[in-house]
Amino acid sequence: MRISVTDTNGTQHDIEAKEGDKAMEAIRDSGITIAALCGGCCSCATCHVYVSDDWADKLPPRSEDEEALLELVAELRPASRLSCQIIMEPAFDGIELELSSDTNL
Amino acid sequence: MSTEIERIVIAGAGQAGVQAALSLRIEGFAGKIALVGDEAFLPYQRPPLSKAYLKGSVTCDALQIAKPALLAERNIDLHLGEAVSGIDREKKCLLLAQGKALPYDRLILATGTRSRPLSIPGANLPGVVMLRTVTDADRLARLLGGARQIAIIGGGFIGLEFAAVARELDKQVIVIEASSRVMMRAVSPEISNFFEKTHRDKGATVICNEGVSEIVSENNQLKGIRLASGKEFPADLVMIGVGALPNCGIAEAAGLAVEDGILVNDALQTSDPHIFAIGDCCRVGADGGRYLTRIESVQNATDQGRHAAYVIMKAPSPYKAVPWFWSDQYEYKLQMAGLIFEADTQIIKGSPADGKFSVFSFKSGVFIGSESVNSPLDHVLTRKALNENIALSPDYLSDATVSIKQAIEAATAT
Repeated sequence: MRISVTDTNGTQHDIEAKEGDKAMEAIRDSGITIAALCGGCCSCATCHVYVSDDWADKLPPRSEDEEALLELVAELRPASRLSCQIIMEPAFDGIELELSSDTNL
Repeated sequence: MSTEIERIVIAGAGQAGVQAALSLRIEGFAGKIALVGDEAFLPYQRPPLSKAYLKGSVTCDALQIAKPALLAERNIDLHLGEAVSGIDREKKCLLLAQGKALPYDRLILATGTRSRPLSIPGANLPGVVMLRTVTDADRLARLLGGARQIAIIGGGFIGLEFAAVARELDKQVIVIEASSRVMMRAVSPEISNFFEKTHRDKGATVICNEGVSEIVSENNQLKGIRLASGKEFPADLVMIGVGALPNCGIAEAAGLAVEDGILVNDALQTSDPHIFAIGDCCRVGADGGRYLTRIESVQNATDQGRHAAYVIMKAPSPYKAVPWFWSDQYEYKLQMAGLIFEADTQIIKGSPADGKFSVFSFKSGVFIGSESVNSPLDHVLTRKALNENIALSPDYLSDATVSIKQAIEAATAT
C-alpha cells in the first residue's frame, strides 16, 4: 500500500508500506529523513506527523502513552500523531502524512 | 565566532558525531565537514542492539541514524573504517591510523565509550561476549540461537535488557551483579527492586552482592561461571556487561585535560578552545554546569552535538539540557528524567504491584528527577518541569491524593 509523505522541506513523496509496518519505519526505510530517536518504542516524539484531515478520523484513537508524548512536541495540532504508533493496514492505503519539525535531525 | 572557520573535523561517527555534522549545516556552516568513524558501517543507533535487533525484529539498515543520501546532500565527507591515531594540535590536524592527516579549524571529539573489560580468567573464551557494536550484536545473536544456559555478568541496563530478550526466547538466565542491587548507578532502590522482582518472576535467577571470579572452561570449551563465593553455574553463553569506559586516549595523548571523560567547559570546549568534546566521551567539569557527571545516552549525545554546532557557529553558551533515558525490559518501559544520585527524598506514585508507577526524587526540597515505569505521562510532565525549573513541593506531592500533574499545576500557579 501507499503512503503520501510531505517532508519538512515541503516536498511530497509517494512511498510503499506493507501491512503491519509502522508508518515511521516505512518513512525511515524509504530514505526520507525522520529522527525517530528511540527507534519506534514510543519513548520520544521525534517521529511526530500531521495526518491530513481526510484521514485523521480513520485512525484508531491515540493511546494514553502517545497522548502523553505528544505533550513534548513543538507544535501540537488536532491531527498530530506519532508515526511509530500508526500500524499500516489496507484501509490506510493512500494515507497522507506531513512530517513535523520534531522529525528533523 | 565562525568567520575564520573553513574546516571542521569530527572524530567519531556515532549519534553525537552525526548530529554535530548535521546541525553544523543547519546552523549555516558551508565549509568542509569530515566525519571519521572506526567502524566500517554507516552511522547507526546502538540502543536497539540489546533489544529489538537481537530479536531480529529490526534490520541493520533500519538502525542507520541518517541515510547515505542525506549525508551526501549535506556534503559531509565520511571516513568510515578509519581509526584515529592522534591529534597534532600545533598543525591542527587529526591523524588517522592509515596515515592520512585531516586539517581542522575546529575539531569535535565524539569518540564515545568502549565496553569495560573484565579481567578474570576465561574472559576471552569463545562464547563470551560483550555488547557495544553491531558486530558484537551479530555475534551475540548467532550464539544466542544455540545457547541454552546464559550467564550475564553485570546487572546494568544492557545486561538486564539482554536478560529479558533471552528469557523471552525461553533460555535459562542467571544475572550476577557485584553491587547490592541492579542498575544501582542509575536508578533508585524502588526501581531496582521492581526490576529485580520482575526478572525473577519471569524466571531468571538474579544474584546481587556477588563477584564472578572465573569463567570456567574445559578444552577451551565454555562450561560456566564460578562466583567469588565458590558457587558454580553452568553456562554455554556468557555476556559481560559491566559498564563502559570513555575513549579519551587520543585526547590525553594530545595533552587535553581528561578525568573520567574528556573535560569540557559548559560550552563543550576542551582545554584547547579549538577542540570540542561531546557525547559519552566527555564530562562537563566546570563553570557550574547543572549536570557534572559523564552521561551516556542518546539524548545527551544528540543535544550536545546540536549544542557544539551552535557554539561553533554562533556563540559560546552553557549546555543545560535535562538528561533523559529509557530502557525496555519485558513489557515494562522505564523512562528517566534528570539525575537522581543525590536524592534525599523519594516519593512514589502509582502502583509497583500493577507495574505502573513513578518515583519522584528531591534533594534538599528541590525536584531533581523522575523514574517512570509504564507511566509516560509522568515522564513527560516531569521532563517539562525540569526544563522549566518548576519548583515542585515535596510536601504537597507526598499527599497520596495529589497527582504529579496537580503538583506541577500548583507550583506554576504560585
